[in-house]
Amino acid sequence: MSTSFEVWIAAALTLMVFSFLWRDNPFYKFAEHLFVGVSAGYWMVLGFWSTLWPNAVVKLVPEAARVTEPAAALPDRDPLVIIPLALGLLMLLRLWPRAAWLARWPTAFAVGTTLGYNLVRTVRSDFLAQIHATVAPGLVIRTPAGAIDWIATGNQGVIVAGTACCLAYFTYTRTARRARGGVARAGLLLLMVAFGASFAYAVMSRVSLLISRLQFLLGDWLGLA
Amino acid sequence: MKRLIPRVITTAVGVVLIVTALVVRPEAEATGGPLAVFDFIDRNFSVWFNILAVFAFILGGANLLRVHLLKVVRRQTDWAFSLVTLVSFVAVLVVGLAKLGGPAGLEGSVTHPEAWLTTVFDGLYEPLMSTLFALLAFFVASAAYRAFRLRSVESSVLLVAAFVVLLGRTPLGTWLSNLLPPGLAFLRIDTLSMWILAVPNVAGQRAVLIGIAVGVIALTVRLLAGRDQRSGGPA
Amino acid sequence: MSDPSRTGLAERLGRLDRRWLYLVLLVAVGVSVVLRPLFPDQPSVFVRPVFERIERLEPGQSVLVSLDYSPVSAPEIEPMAFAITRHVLLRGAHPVFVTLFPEGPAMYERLRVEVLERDFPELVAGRDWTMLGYKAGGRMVINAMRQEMAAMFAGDAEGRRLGDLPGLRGYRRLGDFPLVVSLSSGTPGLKEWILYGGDPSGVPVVGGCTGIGTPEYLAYFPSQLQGILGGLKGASEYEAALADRHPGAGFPRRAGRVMGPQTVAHVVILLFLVLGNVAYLRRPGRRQPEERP
Repeated sequence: MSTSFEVWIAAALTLMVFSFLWRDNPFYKFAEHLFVGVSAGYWMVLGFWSTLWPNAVVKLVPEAARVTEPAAALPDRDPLVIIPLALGLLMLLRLWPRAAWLARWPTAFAVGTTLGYNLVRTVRSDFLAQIHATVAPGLVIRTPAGAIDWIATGNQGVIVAGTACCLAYFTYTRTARRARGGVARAGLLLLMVAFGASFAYAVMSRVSLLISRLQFLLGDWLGLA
Repeated sequence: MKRLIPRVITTAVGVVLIVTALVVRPEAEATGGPLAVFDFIDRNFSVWFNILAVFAFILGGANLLRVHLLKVVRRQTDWAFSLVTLVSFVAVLVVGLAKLGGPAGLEGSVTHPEAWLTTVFDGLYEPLMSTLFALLAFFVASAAYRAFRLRSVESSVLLVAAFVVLLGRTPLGTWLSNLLPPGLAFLRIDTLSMWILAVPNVAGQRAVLIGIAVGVIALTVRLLAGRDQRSGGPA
Repeated sequence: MSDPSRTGLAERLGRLDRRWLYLVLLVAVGVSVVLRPLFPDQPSVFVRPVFERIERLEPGQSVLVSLDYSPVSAPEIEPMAFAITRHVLLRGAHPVFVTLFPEGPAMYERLRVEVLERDFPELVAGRDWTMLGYKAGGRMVINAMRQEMAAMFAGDAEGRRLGDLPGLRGYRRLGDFPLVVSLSSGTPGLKEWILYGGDPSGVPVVGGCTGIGTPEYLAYFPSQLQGILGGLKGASEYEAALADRHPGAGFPRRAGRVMGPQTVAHVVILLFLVLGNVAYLRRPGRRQPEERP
């Protein structure tokens, strides 16, 4: 059994959370609220020291680099970081109802940036590249013999037809649905296979985490494993 | 005006970045003249966005503080638990921002093994976060028992696919498959599970990705055209 | 006429308290965790390209390894991070770590203690490997790195200037790296590295992800994502490949050790699926429409 105070605290918190499996209770609520506070604080601290300080504060006031590193060579000043800093301060105005409307400006900048980049990347990677990856392989040649790999080619055919069927299922207009009834139904069944695989992998993920917690309780804490 | 300016910012920034991505430019350092402005935009807008992301963390933290402080002050239901949130939040903030416990103080790393923030991470954050998500294993097990029923052809297909992949991706699936005679090798459950992942799953996932991409295109055009209330952010 | 004893059993199964299910799962997994059996494994078609890609690295080449995971996914992703880091270092290449998750620096600390310092005591931080650290912003951090590494990173996480880091000499932007390895538990992660890193800059991307993300990411394989380790099974396969190709290294098979309990849990859940359906199919009045769960 562990003699580390930290391990005992972690074990107690683990059991508090697991107590929810019996029913909701104050121990679980305590753990839940503790997690909210700790995680919010942790994220803010990491955001401050890793990004806000070196990428904004130090770039605006290079002398600030000496606070965390006395021997540091001073970087070049970048007065333009005043723009994101100003936008960031405007974002905090959300907390004051009378000036909250000004918080829309940084939000608009963030939305515009996301949209601008995302549109191009999505069209390229999730639309054109996916269509290309689906239809491009065609006949699969087994190298180095140069013969056609009929199994791989058949699988490729299933992917092409399957993707088309699923897309037909996504066509929501009633007339289109009726016209492509059989194809859309094949698409639905194929999607069910995909969701079945997703469910299986979701189980795998969650179970891995449970095993890890039990390894901690039975191994690190109790010394049984 | 309150709505117009944010819409103009969204549209202007979005359109400029789309144009930036579409303009073919030589290597960044060799770019000069009018094209340099696109390199400037491409580099700086990303960095500015990242700085803004930290302010989103700060806003989230401040909002958390306000909500739970009000709950404590007004003695609302479960206010004592809100006090737990408040105390833990402020304590982690102080410990982290002051880099307490680390051998080099402010000059050291905030995640140094001896820093108190590391102790908070190992002793509180990690067990709480891991266990909260580990609960899902039990809920998934419960769902397997109660919700995954042979109710229709569709649900049966889903169930069979899940069954094959669940079994096929374990050593037991391989062991069971080894019991099959060579003539029935195509029925190997590990091979079948890989086939499901590599063929029907890929077809389904690609259709979903293409479908979402079409949705993203439509939504982006709508937002950039200022036809969506969200373009200016909530009131 | 239905058999009363059968319908009675079906009814009892149908009314079973969920906490019995929890208990069965807990006990079954708990026992297998104590026993920890180790099974042989071999890399699948998804894992092998990752292994071969790293096996082909030249000594001295730098590889960008993005540790985009938190404690929630560490049981699946951490064994991948450990095995891939060991493999990169065995090849004499230089891992350059970065993280898009606030928890990433803590995950790196464990990697540093348990792999970099324990298995490779002769190697030195900054000289043989580099940790650039965490930056907020997710996909936009990748976007900035695509333009210029210095746009986001003035130096490494321990304060060394970018120009003083041998691992980054000649690597000014993302496209200069021969390979990006994203070990990802969600967003930002593998998808963002493909969309914002690999596709626009041309750098090959391989990665590892949680089981939940695996089916979706397979859509990018093999053209946009050259190889993928899916969940704990993928990690176990990679460890087995590493042990097979570098038998003298003697690294522990951490994920492989968990595949036993994992199998037991899968069997228990499969049993629940079967029992749940037995109860459903044998319940009295099955033909009448039933309420949704």
